[in-house]
Amino acid sequence: MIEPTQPVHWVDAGGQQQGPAPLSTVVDQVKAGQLPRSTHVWWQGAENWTAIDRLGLDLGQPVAATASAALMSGMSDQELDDAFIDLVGRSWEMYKETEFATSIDEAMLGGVITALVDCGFVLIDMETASLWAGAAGSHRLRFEEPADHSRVNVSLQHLTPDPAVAKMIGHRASAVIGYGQRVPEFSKVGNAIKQEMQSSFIASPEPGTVTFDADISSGYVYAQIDLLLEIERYVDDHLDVDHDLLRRHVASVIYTMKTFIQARFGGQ
Amino acid sequence: MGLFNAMTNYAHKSELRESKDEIVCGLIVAGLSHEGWRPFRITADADKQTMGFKIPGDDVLSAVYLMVDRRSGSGSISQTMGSRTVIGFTAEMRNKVTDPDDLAIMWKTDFANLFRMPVAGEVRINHQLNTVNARTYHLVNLDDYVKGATVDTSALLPWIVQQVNSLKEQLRPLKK
Repeated sequence: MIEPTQPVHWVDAGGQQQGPAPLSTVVDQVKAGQLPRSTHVWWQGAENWTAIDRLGLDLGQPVAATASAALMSGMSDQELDDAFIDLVGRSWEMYKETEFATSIDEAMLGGVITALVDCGFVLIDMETASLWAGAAGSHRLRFEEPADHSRVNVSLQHLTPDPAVAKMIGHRASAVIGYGQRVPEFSKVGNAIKQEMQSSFIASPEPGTVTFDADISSGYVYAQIDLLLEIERYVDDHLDVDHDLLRRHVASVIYTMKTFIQARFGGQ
Repeated sequence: MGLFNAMTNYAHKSELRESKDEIVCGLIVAGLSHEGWRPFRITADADKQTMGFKIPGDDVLSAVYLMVDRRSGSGSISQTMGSRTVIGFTAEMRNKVTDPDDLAIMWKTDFANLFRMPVAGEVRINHQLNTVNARTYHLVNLDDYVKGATVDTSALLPWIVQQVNSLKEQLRPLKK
């Protein structure tokens, strides 16, 4: 083991031999970044010139020649590439989290369409939020059963499109699900409209509120109910939809709304 | 009473006639869902519906958008002209990183596209930072697929998948 006081010669950056000086002096210059860690040294009795970083000495942390080199010190090119790819990848993951948060309600909407179309309903009307004021993020679907022309309405508004809020309480939606059928008597439609006028005074319906609606031009009356739904019960993290659960839940609501309609206006 | 029934019958038939594009959209959403595509974007206004799908496991596309835009108006026009409708396809691909040289080439291509007249069936490539879109559109007559409330999707769905696959091959060389 070479002693720090051992006089040595070294080769400077210009290729010139320097020294002698104690080894500790050369080590200090390497530590300060004034000499490279590969500086070759020779001392009396040594067989060859030896790179100073092969002598097993404490040379401190490598000191870079430039600020950029200092910034990247201690990392190989591969490590720098890997860290960059990791950062970009994580950024995309976060971007997709936001995209997912604003897509999950429409995935559910697609699930409702699929579930009802699979049962034989046809989609006859579709509207999105921007058309109706004060209901941003809302969607409205209307289906008809070809055999008896009865109709199903589904309105959905995503209440938690913000990813942070959704993480706290989950993805929630307010839904209005309704059943409608044609009523062949004008007086009955008029009666339904009167009831709709009464229900229209309810500014913010609570869940479970059943209201009536009527479309006098096509002679339909509708019974509908307000509900709050947990979207993640139906749509998983990969936007895969449980169509059967959706069908079962929509079916239970339609069954009850149909009972309301038929009790008041008779069956078809 | 008879007059009321006649009026409502007429209104009902008119509604169904006006709903051909929605009927087709419903079948497209359900049909493609059964192909494994996952609807994630559904927007609609009076005459135009857009449906976005994710295709799990696809090696090129990040999303696919279909736009159904009914052009032949309503009522008597539809009855005489048929249901002329534009079906637009957008295949979307995302690269994780785009460098400035790529952007310069992209903007040059997009700028040239501005002055080209759109032609049915032609494919256009548009860039938006990391996203590259391949678009095309076709003019179809919905009456070829919709008879009353019945839709024949046996030809429609494979045709849609074929259009998307064709756009995907245009994008594949640009995937990094």
